[in-house]
Amino acid sequence: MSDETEVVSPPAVFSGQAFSEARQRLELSIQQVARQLHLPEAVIHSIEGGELDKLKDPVFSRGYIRAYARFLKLDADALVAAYNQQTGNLSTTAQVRAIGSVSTAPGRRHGHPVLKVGTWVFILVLIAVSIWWSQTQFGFDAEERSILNDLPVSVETTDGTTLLLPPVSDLETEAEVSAHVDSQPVNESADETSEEPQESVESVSQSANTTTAETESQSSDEKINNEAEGGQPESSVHSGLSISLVEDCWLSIEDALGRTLYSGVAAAGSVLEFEGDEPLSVVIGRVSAVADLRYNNEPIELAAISKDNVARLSLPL
Amino acid sequence: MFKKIRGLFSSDLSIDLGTANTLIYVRDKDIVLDEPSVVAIRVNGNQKSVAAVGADAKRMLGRTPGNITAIRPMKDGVIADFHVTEKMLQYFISKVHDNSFMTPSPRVLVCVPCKSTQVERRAIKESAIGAGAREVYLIDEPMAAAIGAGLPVEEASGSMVVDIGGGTTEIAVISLNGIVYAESVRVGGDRFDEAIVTYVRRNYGSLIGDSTAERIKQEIGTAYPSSEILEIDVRGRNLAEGIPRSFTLNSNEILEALQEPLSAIVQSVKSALEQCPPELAADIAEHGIVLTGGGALLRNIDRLVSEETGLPVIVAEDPLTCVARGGGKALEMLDKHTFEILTSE
Repeated sequence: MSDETEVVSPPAVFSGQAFSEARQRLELSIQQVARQLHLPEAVIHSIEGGELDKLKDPVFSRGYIRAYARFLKLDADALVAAYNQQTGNLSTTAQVRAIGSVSTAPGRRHGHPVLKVGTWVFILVLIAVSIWWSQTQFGFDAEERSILNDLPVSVETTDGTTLLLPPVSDLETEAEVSAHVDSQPVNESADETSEEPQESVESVSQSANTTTAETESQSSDEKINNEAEGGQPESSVHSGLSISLVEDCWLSIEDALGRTLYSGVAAAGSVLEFEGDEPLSVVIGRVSAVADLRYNNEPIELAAISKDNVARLSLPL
Repeated sequence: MFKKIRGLFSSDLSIDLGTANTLIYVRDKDIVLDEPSVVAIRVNGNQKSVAAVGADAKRMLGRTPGNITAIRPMKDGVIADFHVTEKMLQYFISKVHDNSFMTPSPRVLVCVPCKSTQVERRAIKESAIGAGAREVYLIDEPMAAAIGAGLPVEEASGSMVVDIGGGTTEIAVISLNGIVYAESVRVGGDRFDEAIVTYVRRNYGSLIGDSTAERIKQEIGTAYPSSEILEIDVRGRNLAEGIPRSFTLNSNEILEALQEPLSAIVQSVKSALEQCPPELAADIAEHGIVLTGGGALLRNIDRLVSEETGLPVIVAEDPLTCVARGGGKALEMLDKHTFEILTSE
């Protein structure tokens, strides 16, 4: 590349005088050099005067120094290295930066810091006030609701009578009772299907009467009690089973709900008693070991229903 | 998914996939590979295999037996042989990764000629993906060259860069991270070599190879008359006698040989200046034109352009690696999500 380069002496520091002396040795003026290299005279002056800060971008400055050095047959590489050393511009690659973007959206301006802080404080206060307001509102509702719940409620029935219901709070605490009473119309539906709406209202009033002494009606109370007593045996029938063993015997007893009342080997001489919902499913693994089997205090003969000394029976028979 | 895992073991690369040479810049390191873009293919029956890549393959150029073909898969800055380019890139990418734990899958930024077609760009992208790249970004060569040369590309000031590569010469005016004007002429180092081969055949009746022509260009080639005359002894096959003969060439003869391709470059530069917006032209006139690429190493080419245009012309520092280094700088912008300097497919 540098065919015309003549290694003179690589200067340790950038010396503009080396350029000046070499130019004078070749008997050239600054104007002639500038014309030959197509460089502004100011650049030649800056290089020769060592005024490197007056030169422009380092990339171009290096190029100018290299071109001028080669023109004067100086060691261009050494002079450029000296320039780099002196100016500290060691990087030859550009630092790439993105072109900034400007938002043209209205109202998107950078405000004063005080304004920003003020805005944030206002927003926080607004949030705090709204939280306080919502809490006070809900608190009043709860109190109001509790007051209302303590008041009795009057209900108009279809036959024109007015029933006074107990407070809602009382109803809630006695939910079990009302639920029980609500189930009664189902049992009575066979007899009173045509009066279903009335019955439900009546049943509510009846449940209310059981808990409120002032408005209690004796007849309706009796009716409820009767219905409750009448319904109970139908929904769950309990029975008693008694087994006496003279020898060890394997037993399995399940009730109607599938609950296992017993399963395993019972010891000789033990007397076992079980209660469960009918029908009971009983399997006796060794009939000969059973001395006595009673169901609801009635003896059951196993010999007739056992097979191979194993009895499978469902009680009641 | 697997590529992402492999990516953890890979470095981001900037590849100057040139017609003559391929340079790879590894992020946070430097230029780690500078090899000729040559691949030697061994043909064994119907099977083809790669015999050598890079410098080894270049030594085989013009010296291969029948079953080996040394080819240059890039022509005029674009891919001429897709599969060979892919193999070459694969070799280079694995070569720059010392890690042999798993196949590298780097993010790759490839420099492409500014006037390459969509198909040519697609081919380069596909080729890089085929070579194992996880993601491929493209950047115009003149932009990468300008960054690599240190030009203030992001400023509102016009900068003209002339990148004389192996296959093409890219001329561009750059301002605000964008290319204002770009021109690409299919004249470069290869055309210089061809011109020398043609000159020698016409004037000496001897045939020389491309490698010899390249050596002549590098040793005594000049673009502008000089008081210093350089000479070189060359051996070529005499066409009339059919036997090798030795003869001596001087730099003035090479200058004469290179007139045609050189004038094509100068004309393109002048054309770019003509079509450049006046404000940017004024900036260029003030600062000058910057030459990059291997062609900028031709003696006095800066002087030639300067004399022809009347503007200051400087040769960038280390012009051969400007494009790869510029691409490396652009790589650093990828993580900052600034893609304005990149080009689309």
